Amino acid sequence: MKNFLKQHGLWVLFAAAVLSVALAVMSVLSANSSPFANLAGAVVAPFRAGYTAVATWFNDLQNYYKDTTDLQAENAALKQELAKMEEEIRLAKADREENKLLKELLDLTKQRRDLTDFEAAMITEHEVTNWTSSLTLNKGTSLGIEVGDCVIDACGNLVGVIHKAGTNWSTVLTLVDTDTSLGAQVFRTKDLGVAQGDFSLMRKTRLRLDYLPADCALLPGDVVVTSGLNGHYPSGLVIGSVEEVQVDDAGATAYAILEPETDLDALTEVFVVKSFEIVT
Amino acid sequence: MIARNETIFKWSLYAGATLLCLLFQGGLLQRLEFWGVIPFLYPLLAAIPATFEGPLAGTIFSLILGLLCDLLLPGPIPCLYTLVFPLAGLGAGLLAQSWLPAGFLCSSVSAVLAFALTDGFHCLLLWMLGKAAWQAGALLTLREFCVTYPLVFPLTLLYRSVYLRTRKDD
Repeated sequence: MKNFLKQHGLWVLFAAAVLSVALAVMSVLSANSSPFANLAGAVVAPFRAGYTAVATWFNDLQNYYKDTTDLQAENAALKQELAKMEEEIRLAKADREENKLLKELLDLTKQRRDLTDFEAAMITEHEVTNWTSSLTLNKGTSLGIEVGDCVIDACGNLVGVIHKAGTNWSTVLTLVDTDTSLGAQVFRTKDLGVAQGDFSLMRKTRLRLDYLPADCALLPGDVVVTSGLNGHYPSGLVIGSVEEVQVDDAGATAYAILEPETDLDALTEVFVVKSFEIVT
Repeated sequence: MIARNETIFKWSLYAGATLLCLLFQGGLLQRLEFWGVIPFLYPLLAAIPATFEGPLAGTIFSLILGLLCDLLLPGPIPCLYTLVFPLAGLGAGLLAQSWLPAGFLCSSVSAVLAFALTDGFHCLLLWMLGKAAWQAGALLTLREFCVTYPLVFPLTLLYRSVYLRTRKDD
């Protein structure tokens, strides 16, 4: 190489100078790029395009990763916010239910001033056997509930009587249970009788009003309320309305079939009457 | 000592199986109504284990179950199930010992007996309380039995598996 440059160096230099001058002259004379520059550009152009494409793809990839990460973070934050709002809605719903219950209780207290102490309770279980009509409540003796206390609905209609009571639970035998027996009075005629459950009627959610005079003038739809005569239960609680009147086999007394005013199957909350004043 | 441990193990398994059934009754069956009645497992629980374990053990098991039922379920008298379930257990145990080998057929007949005793006693009590309702009672018994009867098969399988498991260990 050294020898080559020593022997032909001057010629090489000369050829390079001639080529440079020729290129300079051609570029001055040509309107576009010189043929050599054009050739070089044409050869390099696909590589340049490829490089740009790769660079764009890499940039997009980087942007996509950044966007995804941002979206994931945003999604997680939104999910958290949604869960928080759902929790708030749940709480609001529970508060609304409680508010409704308290309003009903307030109305009831205004309507029935003789019922001096109530306890609101939720029904946790409806009938547990086919031979009884009972409800299980979520309140018990720890809140002053006792066996024999009357249970009413939000409208003041009689639901039943406490049959068993534990610390935080109690069982109510409803109006239509065969073990329920209450002093009753027909509101319109003032006829007295005993409202009691009848097994044949229990599954139809009906009860009987027994020991009515044979000549009683009851009409379907007559309202029957508690008489309160024995002092065990408050007077004037609505039991139900007369559906039909029949005379017993001996013909001495009549009995009526009553439809309870309260909808036993639809009940979800009730009020236990813990104490009341006897109205004479 | 080993025999005592095995006895404890066996009755623990029976108690566990029964507890499972009680949870099934309380958690699910009680909330369902077919043909106007809810399925009522308790008489089956008193009768079916007795068909595998014989009259004596079956009666004692049913007595304990009856006590538990009286604590949990409302009834016209406080000891209704304590009085009736041992009879159902005794009947089922004697049936399996003398006439029918324990199995689906024996469980079915025992179930009829258990429902007849339990619901018959209910009707008798109503009559004694002056509220006789024989026809309505019979109809309810029939419906209750029909609705509950299909459960005789899974219950028999359950208690038979307990019986076979504990017998193999004997």
